[in-house]
Amino acid sequence: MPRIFQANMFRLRKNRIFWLSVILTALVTAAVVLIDCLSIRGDVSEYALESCALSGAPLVQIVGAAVIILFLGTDHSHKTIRNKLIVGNQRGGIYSADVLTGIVIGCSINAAWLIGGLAGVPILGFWKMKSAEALLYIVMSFVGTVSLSSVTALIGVLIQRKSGAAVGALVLAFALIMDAGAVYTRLGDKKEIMNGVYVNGELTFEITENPNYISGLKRSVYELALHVNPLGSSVALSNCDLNDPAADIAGAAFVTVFVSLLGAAAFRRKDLK
Amino acid sequence: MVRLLRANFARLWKTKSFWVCLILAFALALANFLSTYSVQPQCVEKLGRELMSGGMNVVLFLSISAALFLGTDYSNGTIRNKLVIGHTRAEIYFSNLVTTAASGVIMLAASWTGVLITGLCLGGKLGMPVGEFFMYMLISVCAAVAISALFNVIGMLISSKSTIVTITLVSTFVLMIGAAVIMSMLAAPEYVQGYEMSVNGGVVLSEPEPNPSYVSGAKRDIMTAVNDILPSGQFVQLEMGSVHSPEFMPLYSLGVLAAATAVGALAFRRKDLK
Repeated sequence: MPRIFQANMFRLRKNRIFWLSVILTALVTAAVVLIDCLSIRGDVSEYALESCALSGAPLVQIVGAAVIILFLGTDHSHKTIRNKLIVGNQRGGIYSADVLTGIVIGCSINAAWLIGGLAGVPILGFWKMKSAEALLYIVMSFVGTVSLSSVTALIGVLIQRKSGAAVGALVLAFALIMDAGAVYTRLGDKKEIMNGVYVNGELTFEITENPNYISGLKRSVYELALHVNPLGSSVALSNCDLNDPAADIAGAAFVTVFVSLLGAAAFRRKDLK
Repeated sequence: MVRLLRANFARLWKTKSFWVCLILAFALALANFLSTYSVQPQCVEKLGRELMSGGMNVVLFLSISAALFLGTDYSNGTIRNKLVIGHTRAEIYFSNLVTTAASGVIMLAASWTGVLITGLCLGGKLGMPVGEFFMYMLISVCAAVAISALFNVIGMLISSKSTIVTITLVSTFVLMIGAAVIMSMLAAPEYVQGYEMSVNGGVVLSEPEPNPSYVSGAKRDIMTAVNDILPSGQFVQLEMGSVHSPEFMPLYSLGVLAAATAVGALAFRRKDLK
């Protein structure tokens, strides 16, 4: 496995699409953050850089998934995967090396995105949150990346047609973003809402229970769905609202391990034609 | 070019991915409508608006279908065969554009058909003037053709099928999410009003204050123009039921179609097909 991983890294260093994606991610993020910072009206000290810099968290994951699928798909399209088997490598080793390579690609693009987000430092200064919290946010961005990279690697290794794998991975990433966004919004509904009522021609306000508030078992299921969704933490990050990072880390670790084991088992039985 | 079109359509009818996307466009539009109907049965009274709400789903399926269809020409080497037997590059480009645009309009029609038939069976009404409804249909058709032209540029200028698929899908997501973000930013109110405690202990509305999230000035003008010109912005406006300048939108789409086709056709003429 280490030799396959080394070979993958060697190929990655020469991969133009990878480098182009890393550079473009950093540049586009820097441009978007600068435009955001320059368009702020009033007192800039009231604004925090992290709210501009982290807003693109889910989109970066899509870029990462696209690059991973293009890189891993080449193994199938160039028939390299059979060569690797012929020279004596185990299928488990090939799969593990591909998952690790996917994680390296995802994390590199994530790092480029975080660096690009620093473009607003001359205007807004560094992140306003405490160092420990900032570190936690950065770690969480990588945790989500690792989880999604393992899912993307599963698709890239198991679907032999590169274009089919690209469609599968990107549509899945998009569906996960939509799902995470919908669940996050539903969980954000307040338990009590304030209603304005006219009594004797005078406007008075009363606090009532929100009928849309999710509670009990249904809330636990929604929270679980958000924690195990690889893009759940990205959606929370983009709103600078990490509620339960420990559960997010546990969810991401579970998905990474489960998907990797599932992928390795399926790849072991796969007919490589 | 007529023979190229015939060949393209013959291939399109036999392409599995096209039929899968067509069925999904039909099914998703119907499922969305039935889901809305289960929560708000009165939505059938505004069937016109419901019909216009599935445009972005169609764009997603069109991007998949178009990318796979156009990429096959390169991956199978067909594009060179077409040139060898005497077709010009412009003919190849335009025949692919017509085929892609037609598949987009067919998917749009499929998404409307299911909702329309089901809505009418449930006793639905258009809920808007007929002229306005046809105007919205025209905007949708023109936006689908314009976005097909953008997909055609990607599909004709990149030789690798998987790269075509990836770039087309990523562009679609960026266009869709970008249009939704612009729309929500433009929808922010200019002034916000909170609650405060009055001297007699009651809760009253506070004085309106300028909203820091309100987009104004040149930035608002640019964002409005971008949202009106881009086909994805037009679809989002139709979906939200707040169309900014309906009479100009078909013209904007024609502008996007002309610009994309001019750039794409010129670049394709100089492309090295190896």
